[in-house]
Amino acid sequence: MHDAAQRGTILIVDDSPDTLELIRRNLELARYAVLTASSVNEAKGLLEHQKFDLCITDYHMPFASGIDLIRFVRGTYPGTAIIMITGYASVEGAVEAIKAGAEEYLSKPFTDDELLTLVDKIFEQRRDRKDTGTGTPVS
Amino acid sequence: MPSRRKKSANSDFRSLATDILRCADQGTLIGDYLREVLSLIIETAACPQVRITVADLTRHYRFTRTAAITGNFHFAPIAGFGDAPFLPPFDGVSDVELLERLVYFGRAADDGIVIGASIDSPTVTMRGDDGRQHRLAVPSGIGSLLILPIRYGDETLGVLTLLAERPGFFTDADGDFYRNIAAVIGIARAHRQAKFHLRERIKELTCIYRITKLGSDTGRSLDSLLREAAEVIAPAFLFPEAASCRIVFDRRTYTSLRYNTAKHILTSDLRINGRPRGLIEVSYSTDLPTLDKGPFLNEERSLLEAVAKELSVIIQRKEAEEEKSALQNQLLHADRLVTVGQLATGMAHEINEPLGGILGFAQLIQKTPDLPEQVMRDLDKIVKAAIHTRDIIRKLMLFSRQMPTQKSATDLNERVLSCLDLLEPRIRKGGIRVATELDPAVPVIVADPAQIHQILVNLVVNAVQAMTPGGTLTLRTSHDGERVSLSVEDTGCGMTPETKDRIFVPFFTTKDIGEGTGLGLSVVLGIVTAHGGDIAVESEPGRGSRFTVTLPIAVAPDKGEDHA
Repeated sequence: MHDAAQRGTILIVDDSPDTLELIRRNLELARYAVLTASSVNEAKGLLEHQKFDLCITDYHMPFASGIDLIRFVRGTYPGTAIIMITGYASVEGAVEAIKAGAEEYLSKPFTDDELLTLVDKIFEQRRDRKDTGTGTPVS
Repeated sequence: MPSRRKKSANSDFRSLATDILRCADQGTLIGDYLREVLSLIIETAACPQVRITVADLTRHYRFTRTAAITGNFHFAPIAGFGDAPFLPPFDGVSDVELLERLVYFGRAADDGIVIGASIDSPTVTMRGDDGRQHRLAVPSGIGSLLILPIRYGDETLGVLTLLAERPGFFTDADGDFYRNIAAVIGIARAHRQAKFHLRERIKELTCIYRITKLGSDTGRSLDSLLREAAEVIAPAFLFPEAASCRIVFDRRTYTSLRYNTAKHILTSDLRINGRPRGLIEVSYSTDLPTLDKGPFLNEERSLLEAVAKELSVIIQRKEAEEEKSALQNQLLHADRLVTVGQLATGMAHEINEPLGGILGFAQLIQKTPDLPEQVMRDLDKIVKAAIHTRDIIRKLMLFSRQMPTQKSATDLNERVLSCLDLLEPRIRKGGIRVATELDPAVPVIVADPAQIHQILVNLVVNAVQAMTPGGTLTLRTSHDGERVSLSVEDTGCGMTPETKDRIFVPFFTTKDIGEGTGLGLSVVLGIVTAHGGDIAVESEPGRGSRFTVTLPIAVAPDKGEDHA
């Protein structure tokens, strides 16, 4: 799926293979280039080697949490947008994510529409920012 | 006639004294007793008129018996008899009543007046306020006169008076004889008064005792207590057969069984925690002699005040108990809610993951090209079911206050109108008429507008569903001091008390499966509680329901939300 029509590169981080697959397939169908990682460490490795427009990360993961990843990405790759996926049981987590620097959060379980609408919105905002020349430049 | 007594003065005295003392125990009314005593005396004395003037309760009465017509007896209150006479100056004119008063107040030089021997223009000697002796003429037309003090111990209770126009009707011996009879009347009178006071005190104590006993009966409702109290109070009064009692408390009225329109009323306030909440009223339906306060005694006013105080204490205690038990119930309920909340949180964790899989992969399959139509329809059902399940979990989370509130200035009226706007198609479809009574001065409150909206939508949807076919939906807002109220009223099917008791219980629903989650009102309750408010429900089967939400205008900021 690495054709010219690709709309952007997205990294998905989740310890649940099912969730990873679900998001990946939906985004690929929507013509995004997708890479997946099942832990924060794995994600950091991928981030070192490749530029991502967007990182979608789960909140609860073993060893290091999504919040750690958000802080890392915000600090190291300011050009990468972040969506945090949270369970409904931890809305406080969503608030925490936004405060740590995530652009958006998505509550689980979500429909494909909810996911795609949110992702599209992030890319639209990035395009707008690039067009007007304001905001964080993509490194 | 005087000779008749002289022969057997001793036996006459014994028999008269015995008769006077014997009938002292008869009759409850003083008039009945003195009629008897006067008859006995006039029979013995055979003079034209005998009268006794006594203090009764707070007034003086004169009871008169004349021989002229058989059985002529009357009594009348004598105003001013109890006022000490002043002497001198004295204009020289005297009447029998003045002489009686002087004897009553111990001014007679001989401790009484005895005009026996046949003399022209008799006089009596009185001690004046100047310390000197004054001679007063006996009123003309009275030839013979005995005025003797009725005493008991040091207290003068009244006077006994015997009159005759003819001079020389009484002898000095007669004077002694009736002085002793007056002393006997004094003893009898004191005995009757003691008995009377004892009887009244026993009635009062019985009343207080019974009220206290009613109060200690913890199983008794306030209604039953006040009804019983009304029955207990009336008999404690001086004229129980004419007395009735009415207790008014919080605009409810409790009357004793026999309640008549009142001619005389004695009342005492019922004050609970210093606030007047009602009154106790004792009334007589008939005209009765005037005592301290109408036909009431000072003791009775004190009694009524004591009863009112006791009842107030009992009511205060009962209300405190009721409040405590309501609070305990509320705590219990809150406890249950917390449990449900924890359960919901745990459940959400466990279910969201697989639910996400069901929803997500079903939607992925939907994106497979060239799916048979049946498969598409089936998938659609799976997706819808998954979304419904997700909604239930979200409501549960909301209900268990896992959703943080985002409080800001909220205009209640604006919320009402926007909710009606949103639900307008649904309301119209149900053939429902909408009436709004919005308080234009309702203050802006600090609340989560989205959650207030949720309250309104839930209540209005319920109301609409309760009204098939059609009806009137009334939304009201109002404010009172620190709180605002919002009520949603329908003219629908209403609820039985059993249903009404359970509507806030999570998952309780009267609707068909799929029509409601049984969480709508639980969510409303959760939100209202989170806002520090109250919700009240009134409902009558077949008539409709009214939900009234009361919210504080300003809430204390939630810790951790505003300062996080």
